[in-house]
Amino acid sequence: MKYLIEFIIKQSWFVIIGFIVVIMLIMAGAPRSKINSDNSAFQPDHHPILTINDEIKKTFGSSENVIGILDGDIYSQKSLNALRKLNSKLETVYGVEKVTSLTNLSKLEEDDGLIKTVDLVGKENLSSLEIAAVKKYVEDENISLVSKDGQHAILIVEMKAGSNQEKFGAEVAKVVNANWQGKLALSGTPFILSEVNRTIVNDIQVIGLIALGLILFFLYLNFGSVHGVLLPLIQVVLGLIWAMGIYGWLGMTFGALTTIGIIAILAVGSSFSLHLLGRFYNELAHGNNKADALRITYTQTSQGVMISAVAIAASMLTFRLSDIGTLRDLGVLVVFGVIGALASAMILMPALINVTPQPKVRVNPEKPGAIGGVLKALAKFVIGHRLATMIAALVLVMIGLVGITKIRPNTSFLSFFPKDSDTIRNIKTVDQIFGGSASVSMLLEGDILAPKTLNAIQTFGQRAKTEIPGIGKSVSIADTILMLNKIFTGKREIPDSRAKVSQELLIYQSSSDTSQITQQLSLNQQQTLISVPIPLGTTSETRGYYSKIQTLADDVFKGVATVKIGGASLGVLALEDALIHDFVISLTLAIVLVIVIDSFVRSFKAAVITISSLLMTIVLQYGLLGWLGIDLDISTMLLGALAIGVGDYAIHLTVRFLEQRKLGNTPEQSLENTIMSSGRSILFTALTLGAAFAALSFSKLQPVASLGQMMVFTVLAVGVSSLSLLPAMSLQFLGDAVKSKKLVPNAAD
Amino acid sequence: MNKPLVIALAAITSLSLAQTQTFKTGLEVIQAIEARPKPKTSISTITLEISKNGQTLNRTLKTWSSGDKSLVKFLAPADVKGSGILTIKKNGMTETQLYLPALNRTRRLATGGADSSDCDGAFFGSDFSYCDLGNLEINNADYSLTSSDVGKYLIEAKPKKSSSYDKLNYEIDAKTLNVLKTDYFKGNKIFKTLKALELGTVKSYNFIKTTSMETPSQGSKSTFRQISLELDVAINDNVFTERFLKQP
Repeated sequence: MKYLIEFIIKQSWFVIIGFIVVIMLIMAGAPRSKINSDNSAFQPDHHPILTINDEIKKTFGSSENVIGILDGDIYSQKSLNALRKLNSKLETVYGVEKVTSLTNLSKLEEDDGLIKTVDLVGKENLSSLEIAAVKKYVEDENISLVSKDGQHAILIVEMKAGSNQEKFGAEVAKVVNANWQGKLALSGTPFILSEVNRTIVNDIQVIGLIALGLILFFLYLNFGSVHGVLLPLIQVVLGLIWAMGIYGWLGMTFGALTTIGIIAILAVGSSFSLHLLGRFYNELAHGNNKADALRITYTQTSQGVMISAVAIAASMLTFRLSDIGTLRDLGVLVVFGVIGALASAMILMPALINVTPQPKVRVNPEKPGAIGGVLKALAKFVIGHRLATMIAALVLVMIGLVGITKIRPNTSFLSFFPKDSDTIRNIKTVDQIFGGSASVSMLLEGDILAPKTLNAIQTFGQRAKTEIPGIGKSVSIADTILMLNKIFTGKREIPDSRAKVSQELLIYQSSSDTSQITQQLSLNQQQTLISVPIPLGTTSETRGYYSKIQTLADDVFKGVATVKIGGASLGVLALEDALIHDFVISLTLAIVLVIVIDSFVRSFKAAVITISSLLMTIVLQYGLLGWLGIDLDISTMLLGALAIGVGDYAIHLTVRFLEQRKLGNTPEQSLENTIMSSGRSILFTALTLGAAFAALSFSKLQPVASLGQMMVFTVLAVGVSSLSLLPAMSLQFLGDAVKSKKLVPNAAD
Repeated sequence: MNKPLVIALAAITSLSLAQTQTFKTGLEVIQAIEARPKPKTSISTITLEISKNGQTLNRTLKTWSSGDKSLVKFLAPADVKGSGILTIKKNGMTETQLYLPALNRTRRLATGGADSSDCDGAFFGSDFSYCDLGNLEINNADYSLTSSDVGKYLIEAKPKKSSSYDKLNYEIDAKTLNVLKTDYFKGNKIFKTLKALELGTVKSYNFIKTTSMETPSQGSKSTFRQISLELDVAINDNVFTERFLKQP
């Protein structure tokens, strides 16, 4: 570092121009990035449920759809005309495979011995008599496309396999909203994803600006000068450009968690500058000239900054082991951002400081008035009550551990939106009227057209509706067979031989739209799909339905057919399983990595002391999560790794403490000096990081907002821990650490 | 199913006499195809293989055709064996009777077929729609000859009114006027492709023995194979009756 800072001081303009050229090249990649809110981004690469879903998709096509509930007097000429118009408009929309509503249903009917296919609502402006006939048919055949009271029409828009779900959902919503005059509610994964995407775009712009504003405010509060604000600002902006540019060059996509990554880069990047600039001003305040202040700052404080950068990069890189694409990408984004911010803080910032006029130091970090008094009192308290401090921390850890047992995982899309949001109201309306806006798909394998199999399918549908409260009417091949047999024999029952079933189907295939059959029966007639609507709920509720359906299916189909249960709605269970697995692996690995990295640079003992302080914070944050009943989801699972990442002030404190010990001070004096000198930086880093993460609370995506609130607690907890528990532990366990050969804090690296 | 199936299949197989005349416009080529002599009657046995995602469904049918009358009987698989469909067109009306041996009863059926305005439906679950199987309605499209190199005519047909497809590209053998390949477009993308895979000759007619239709977007393919074909043979009118329909 000594040679590097000398080079930067001598060749400042060369360094600045070189850095600008590199940044310009990297920045050119940024526009290549695209937003991806597709469902696949939230799903793990491997899971038995997803394997079943792939098998279903391969044989029966996409199972994604948007469900609409349209309010109005449906059995009226006006509503039926409007529904017909909407139906036909939707058929031309991007990604639409098929639209199903009352107005495009056809029925097989017998007229004077002639079986014919006719449209149920075959024309505009039906007469009252014709409308009454439609109503009677719907009621007689128990068709679930109109609510019992006739006040809601149900619209099902199926997506073509391979279409972009978010784009499909957005386009369908746009057309439905533009063409239905009455109230309406939409649901279905593509629609929810389009809402997520809209929120991501809004979040990135609004939250990024709020976070930046808050960071600038605390930087000004700390340094009291434009110089002290602009320099860190440049570093974080360059860190962001670096991350987004490389992200773009690598062809990666932004997802729902990108906002978190951006805030993490802003926060961590500003903390690098904050520590370095704090030390620089400190040295200026001690009478050093600009060049000497730079030399001292970059030979002594750079070690802590680099350890902290490597620590957060390592903890974020553990997400590369995740089975979930969006988490892997988030890890990469933050790592690039941290590298960019570090490079900028270590190379560009000293060059900029060197070529700009020496700043007036308005705040003396060594004598900060009231803050100094508080810090001094804190140091004396810790020195006098080191054991009490550690015992108090232990008690808090115990309380936190109890809270952890109360943690409730939930990866449902429902958890993405506030409970009083329009999206949730939409979903609830669809659940209530349609009987479920999510669905479980059951893949049956066996002799499907055998009467005993079809009877079992019919029995399953009936028992499911009565024995599993909350679920909707199952849709299966048995419904089609019942309808056909009624036409051919007058009896609404499953035929008593396989030949009868096959022959009725054959005639149906020759005379009508067969898409319904191909969505339910495989070509070789050995597989069939049963769709069971369930309400969109939390993952534990979905797991409950899954379990009950599985139990009932095992009972009904035992010895008749094998059953595999999947469906797009069960993807959240796969996500939850992967999430918990990733959470344990990444957190454990992050802790181990930080200890190993820190041990190499300093000592194993110092590393363990530092990480212990961070671990207490992690236990407290997850404990609070449990006590407050906040869901463990794809965002809040990041808390631990982020705590390790932003906990760099803990590292700075032990670095400074060992530096003081190396100077020959007593442990107590070293501690007091450390808290007095690093305390202000730690305090303002905590405030700045807390403010940056607080901006996430403004997110319209609930997991991101929860993470923001929890991270405010986390950074403040790390700050408190770093100024109380960590000093107490350092005093207790690192008092004689100066004897270690690895302890060379004053040596220029 | 009110379009006589056998006539439809005849359209696919494009029965024709060999000829050597050259044409300068797309319409001339199409008119020449339609003007070719056609057999008055046919009896054929056909297999229909439908495959998708590694799964296959095979059906065997026997057909009788004479003028506006046709009869189809399923020979395999076993559970549909004996099922039949009799179609008779009389005074502009099409009447269809179907017979299901398992129910031992015949029923009259009225639905869309190849000459219906609503002929998008899949032919027995295959990639062929009834529209695909129908005879060409020359006046319903504009034709342009895009190429006539190397013994083939390439013709682009654009429907004049709303149709199942936005465009059809025909590849026609210049010598036999057999349609060797047809690309069916929806928008600017090929939706389906029809290919003549094997040619045959019966009496003075040459015809396409094996033909396939592929739907890339659905990963499916259907293939018709003529196992036997008799042309211009005498068919007793008793064949086109309910009694014959019900015979095993």
